[in-house]
Amino acid sequence: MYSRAYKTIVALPPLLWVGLFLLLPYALMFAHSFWTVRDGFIAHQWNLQNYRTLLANPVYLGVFLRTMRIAASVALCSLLLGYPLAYYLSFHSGARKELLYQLVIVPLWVSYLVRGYAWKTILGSEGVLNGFLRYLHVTTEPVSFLLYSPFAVVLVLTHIYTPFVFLPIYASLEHIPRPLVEASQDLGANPLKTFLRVILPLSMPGFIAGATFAFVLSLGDFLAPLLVGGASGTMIANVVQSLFGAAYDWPLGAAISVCILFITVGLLFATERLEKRWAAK
Amino acid sequence: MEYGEGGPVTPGSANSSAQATAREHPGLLEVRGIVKSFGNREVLKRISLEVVRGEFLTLLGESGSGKTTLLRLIAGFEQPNGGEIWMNGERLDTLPPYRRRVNTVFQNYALFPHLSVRDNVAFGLRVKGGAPSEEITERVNQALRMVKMSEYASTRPSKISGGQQQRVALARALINRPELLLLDEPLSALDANLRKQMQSELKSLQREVGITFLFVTHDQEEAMALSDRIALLRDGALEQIASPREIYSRPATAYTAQFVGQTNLLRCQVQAGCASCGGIAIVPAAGPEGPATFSLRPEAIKCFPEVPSGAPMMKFKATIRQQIYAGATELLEVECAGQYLRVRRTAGAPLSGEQEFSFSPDDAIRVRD
Amino acid sequence: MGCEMKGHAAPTRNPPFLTAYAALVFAFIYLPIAVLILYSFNRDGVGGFPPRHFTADWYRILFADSAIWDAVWNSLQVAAGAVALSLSLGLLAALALDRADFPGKALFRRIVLLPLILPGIITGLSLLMFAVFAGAQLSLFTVFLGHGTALISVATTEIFAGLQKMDRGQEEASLDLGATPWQTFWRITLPNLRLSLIAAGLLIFTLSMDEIAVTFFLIGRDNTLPLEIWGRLRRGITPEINAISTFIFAASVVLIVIWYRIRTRSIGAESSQVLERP
Repeated sequence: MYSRAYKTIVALPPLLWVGLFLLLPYALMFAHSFWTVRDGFIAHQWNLQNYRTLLANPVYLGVFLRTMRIAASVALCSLLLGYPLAYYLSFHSGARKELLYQLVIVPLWVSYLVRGYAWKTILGSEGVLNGFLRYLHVTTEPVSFLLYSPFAVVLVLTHIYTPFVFLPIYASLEHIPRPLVEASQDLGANPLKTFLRVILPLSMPGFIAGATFAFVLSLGDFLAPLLVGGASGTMIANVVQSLFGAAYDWPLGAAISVCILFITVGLLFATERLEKRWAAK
Repeated sequence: MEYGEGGPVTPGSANSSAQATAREHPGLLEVRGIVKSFGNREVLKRISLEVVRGEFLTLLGESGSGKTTLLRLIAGFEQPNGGEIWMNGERLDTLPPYRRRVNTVFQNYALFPHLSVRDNVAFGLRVKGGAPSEEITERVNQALRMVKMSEYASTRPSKISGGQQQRVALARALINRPELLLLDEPLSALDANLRKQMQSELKSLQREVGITFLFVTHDQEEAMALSDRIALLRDGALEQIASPREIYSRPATAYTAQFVGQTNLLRCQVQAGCASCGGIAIVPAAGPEGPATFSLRPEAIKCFPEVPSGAPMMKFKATIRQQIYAGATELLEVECAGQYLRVRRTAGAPLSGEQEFSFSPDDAIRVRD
Repeated sequence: MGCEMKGHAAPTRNPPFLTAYAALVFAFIYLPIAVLILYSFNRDGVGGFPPRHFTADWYRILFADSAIWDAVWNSLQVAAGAVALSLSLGLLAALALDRADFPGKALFRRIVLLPLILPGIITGLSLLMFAVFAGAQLSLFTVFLGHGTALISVATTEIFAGLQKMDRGQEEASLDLGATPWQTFWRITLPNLRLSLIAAGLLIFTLSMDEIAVTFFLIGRDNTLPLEIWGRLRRGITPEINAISTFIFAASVVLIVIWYRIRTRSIGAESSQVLERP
């Protein structure tokens, strides 16, 4: 029904644009990872030096591992918070489901920076939380580990990504036909067994999607560490940022970025495969 | 094969040129050897037929018979893999749909939800430009009056019923005065009563407007009620094309005999002008000798004691197996020497056991398999 | 997906533990924002407890702060441009994905999604390298290009969904009635996509206004709002920032309510419970 002219007109501009403004930049990043810096300039010599550095130098590895740990913690905590919330909304919220759903989504639209900043004001030694604790005479000295630590980063990122994790889990739960739950109870399974044997397995696609999102997005985050991470809460993206800034080693920064990219794409690819296998069962 | 922008646009409806065209080409549309495949499935197998100007022709067939595909080829939404379509002496299949003097009433009506009924109907006139807006308004009002939807002119399609939507779809198509109107199972979404009512409205509309209708349906009763001619399609080929009466009383093939109405198919052996089918004989039996199939309609078989006088009748005895009451008539399932037949008669007293039946040999039609 | 009983919870006793837990999670999500708003009225600063002296001074200072409003204006310009660019390219891409077969179609689909799934820093740096490679000066224009490109797939996904829902017969009917493909596109296809376009536009606008990661590396002399706030944070924290944040929060709420209304209108009442992620 659509002529060749029509199809060309619709396909060509986006293809060209994406090729020029996405494919090419990513390719440039990739290329840079194989170059080096010499005398303050980027030398276009192809080599694997950057990757060797990353593997050999324990500093980089250390930050990588810390980043993975933080990302995993964020994913875990977001799941612990987001799943029960989604479950409650889907199965027990009755008439207020619509309203509660909107309430969960609202924070998603509020600026990341605003939310991170809010925690900064809460967690500091002069912050709201410390003031609150002192007001209640629970402590006399300010609790210092709250801010400028990996704990703070995990806290902030969990806060940011819990609604993100909530969404696909909620969608999965809503897709479960209620008669299945009723059938399970009819056959003698109590709520816990019904949950473990029926609801949880059926909500796996959303579960996996949510966890992956939280992990992947936390992995490359550089804002939360800058806001609340301090020296001990630096993540790998901050290293990249400084390599493109003061430390001026674009090729090395590109190499790290390529690693992050591969981990991200690899993870998403793996979970996609998993979901397909799950759906086929 | 993509259509290009070639092919002359058929001229407008200046009366004298239309008459001249009609004289030259009584056949409005000619389908010549059309082949259409989807992937490696051949949906239309070198099908040819002619549509006569002013007639109500129905494409009848099961799903998968290719009738909708043929319609879409004529409308221009598909391209044939082989063959040609001609209209009024000019090539049609090389034209894009918006250049063809053909309009379609779609199965789900495809009314534009963001436009009112009036704007829907006016659409075809507005996009082609040319006509002044007073003329458009007048023609739209006329079209709405014709389908009795004037009071809904400002309503949106989502607010009117299925039957009403169908009328709007009709008006929207007819207002463009096409040479040929295609209707793709337009009544299938309506309930039974509404359907009957719309059938008769459609028929009188066609007579009144005089436009050639090409109608697609799988419902053979509907086809017989509406059509001047029926084209029965089977697996992408034309099985038979004839008037409803002829298709019913003189089916060409066993398939036709069974698809249009009910029938009994008798497998017989013909020899010396006489066909013998188990316990039943048919004399005289025309045609070559050897195995043959005869179609005998259930209402043609008479049940003793209703033996009409006059013409020589074939008689046979059969045992009554079932008597299915249907109000005005009843259907008897009888068995004669291992063969099962159906007999339709006006409802009467319960029967059982062996009875004598008779039929006129003229009613036994020899059919191809 | 054929079960009509989907989404209607069987009546169960309300488990108290779960309800309390859910309430706690809600509190966790909203507490920081509540604190933020509260302390925007606090005379003595962003910390400590309890806030003692109520004042609206910080808002007055905010109104007079021209640097902030310049940044807001910059952000609005960039966001408007990003919406225009993403919607146009996204519309074409959605049409292409829906109707055309071309070499590299699967690859295209993946690449266009990358900016959304990769950490923003990677896209930002890649675009920076490209800008340097092309010899471009960093400015609001480069930011606009970055946002517009990164957000194409938001538009594409939304519009593609709208296309799938559209009754194909309408375009056929339009052609059948004599409209050319061009006329059909303007009179039939676009009006049917209206809701998808608006929803996508709202989302792109919001994401652009809040964008930090990509913007960080493409910004020139003129700041967008998030980066202006960011700069302030380095210099010192005052409740003025709380005031700005409160404003941003209020604006976000308005936007999300509008977006939600549009979404539910386009999907229809019965299935409005199951929505994809925004």
